[in-house]
Amino acid sequence: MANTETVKGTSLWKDAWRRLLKNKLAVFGLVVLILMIIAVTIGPWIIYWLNGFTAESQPSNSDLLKSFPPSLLHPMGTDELGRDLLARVLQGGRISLMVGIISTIVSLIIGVSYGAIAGYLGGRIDNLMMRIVDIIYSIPYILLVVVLLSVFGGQNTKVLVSWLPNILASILLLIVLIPLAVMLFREILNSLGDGYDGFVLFLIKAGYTIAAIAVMVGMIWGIGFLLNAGNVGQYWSKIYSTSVSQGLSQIFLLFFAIGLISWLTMARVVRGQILSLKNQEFVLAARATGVSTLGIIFKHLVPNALGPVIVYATLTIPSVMLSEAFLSFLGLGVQAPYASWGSLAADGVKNIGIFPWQTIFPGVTMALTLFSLNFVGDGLRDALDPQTRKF
Amino acid sequence: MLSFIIRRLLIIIPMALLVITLTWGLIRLAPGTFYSTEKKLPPAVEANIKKKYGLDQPVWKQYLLMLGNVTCRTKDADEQVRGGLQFSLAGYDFKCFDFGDSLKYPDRSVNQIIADHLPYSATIGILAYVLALLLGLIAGNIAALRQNSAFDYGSMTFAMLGLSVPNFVLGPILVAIFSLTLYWFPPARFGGISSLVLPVITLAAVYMAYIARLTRAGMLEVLRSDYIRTARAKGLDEKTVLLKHGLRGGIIPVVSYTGPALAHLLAGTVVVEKVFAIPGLGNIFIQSIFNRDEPLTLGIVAFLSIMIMIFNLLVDISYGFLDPRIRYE
Repeated sequence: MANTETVKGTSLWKDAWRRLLKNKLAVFGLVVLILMIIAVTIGPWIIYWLNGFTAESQPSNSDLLKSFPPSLLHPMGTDELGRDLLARVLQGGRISLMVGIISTIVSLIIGVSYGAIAGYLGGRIDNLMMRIVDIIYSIPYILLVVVLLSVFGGQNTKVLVSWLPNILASILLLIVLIPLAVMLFREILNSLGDGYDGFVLFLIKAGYTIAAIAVMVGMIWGIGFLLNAGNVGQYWSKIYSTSVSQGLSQIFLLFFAIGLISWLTMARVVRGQILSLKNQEFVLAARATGVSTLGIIFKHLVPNALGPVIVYATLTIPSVMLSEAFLSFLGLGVQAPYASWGSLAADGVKNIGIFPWQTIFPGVTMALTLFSLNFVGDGLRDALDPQTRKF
Repeated sequence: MLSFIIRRLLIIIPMALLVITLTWGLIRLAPGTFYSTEKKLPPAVEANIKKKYGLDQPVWKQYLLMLGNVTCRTKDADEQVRGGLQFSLAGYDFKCFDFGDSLKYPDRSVNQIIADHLPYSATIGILAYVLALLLGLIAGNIAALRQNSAFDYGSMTFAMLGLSVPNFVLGPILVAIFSLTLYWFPPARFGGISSLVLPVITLAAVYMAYIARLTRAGMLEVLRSDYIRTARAKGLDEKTVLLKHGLRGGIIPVVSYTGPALAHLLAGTVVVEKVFAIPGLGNIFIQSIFNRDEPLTLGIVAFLSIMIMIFNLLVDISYGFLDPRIRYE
């Protein structure tokens, strides 16, 4: 009898996941991270429900000394204004983790596109693009952040934020519409068949491309206009024009500023990957079947370079969080009444000799999170890329 | 080899000028000026200030003047030069590398400020560098040789901890333990060897952790390579194999990391200077950005970027000595 049992193939991702679960430290990191995310998400509500505090609520008594050491009521003690430190650490964790995620996404989008395009096009363009990266590298990033924050900060933040719905709508449209348009475009071209010679075909293609771009831009601006006409934009800027929300939009600005400066290494990593991939047969096959350059880059090359990208992204999150903490320490980052782990620790440092818990708890919470993220990143690298594994 | 070095040294000049240009542009992009205060200045006063600092001139003239200051230009008749290089050529007086006076501290020239504050940063930076290199290499090597031993896991977990604890948390914790509780070292201020211990450890921690991890990974890869097997096969003793053949290849990633790291350490790291109240260059730099003190920012950026490029060049040269397979084009 023939062997009816089929060998089940495991995909790369399943295989990697299995390897990751074998790595005890990575699993530890993953568990801590999940617990941390749950804690910062529901923690502030639980504290409010149990004790009636929020991160901002100050005691009504007029004691001069408001910093209390850890107790049952305040497991992490209180800060110098008498606010519950646990609530503040959990609330700050939301911002710290959000910095990590949003800034990393920003750096991913820029870094992957930039590196992939430079790597695939090669030659002079590659050289030029990489020199640009080198030059930005040698400008001290603190200067870039200060300039980004002060150029777009203050009054300009409001303008930027009032445009946010339009920008979001545009991104959404780009994600949904471009693939649709490309698919439609391809269908039309296929239906044209071989009846035309090269030049005419080129003209038709060019015409369709211009038309498609025009339609898309028109739709984006049209929908942006509709959103504005429907007062969504104004409504949005009204929410954000109060002084408290000014701080919040400043935080979003900070996310983008950090993301905008941390894509450089990502671009290098992706470029290196693409360089080694682009001469392989599947790229040649794609080119032979007439896939466009951008199609080859984003549909064939980038997915194949995803392993190192994911690993590097996991390692970008802690470094981005450290940058935010550093900026908050300098007074450039998150502004009161908002807090992040970095700004909480920086506030506590002033009184380290007298009220050590004000530094230690936010600092240790942050260190634990970074520790876990680093372990997960290391574990992912070992799992996804067994060749460069640390044996 | 020589032509490679000369070519790379020559490239540094346009690269540094480009960095300076971009920095200048960035400073100009940021709103606010060094003389802006809470109260709005009377227009006449503002016009006078602008005139004095040449801000009333067209932007391209200001840019050229800045470039002239940074590189070389002819000296004005009544100009006081307080730093840089001066010489006469064909009847003209030239001055070079003179960044001018700080706008916030008008009685000090930028060159003087850098010369005054660099020694503090450099002392701590070099000490931290040596400490990080020494301990990192030793820990990384032992971890690689005794792979999967208790020492390996212990030191690597410790290194991960070093990477995860922000130094503005580590520094104050060290102060709280060693100065405020045990009274071993002074908590702040610069003076005497004992005041160097805590800042150097705080500064070195991250670099040490990184170097240990890089060394371990590099050594593990090298120890598996063919040429190590060859060295063992031809009967070399283990010490020669490890130190002469293994280490040379294994520290290549460390070398490429520590080149730029040294430049940053020399310029001082802001956090350590702030925590330990050290009058180093890092804090001066941050303050100059906040103050929009253009000449000072430019001076420090120029110094830093040239340092980084020179250290990168040194790293590239040292590759050739470490790995004979690497050739310079």
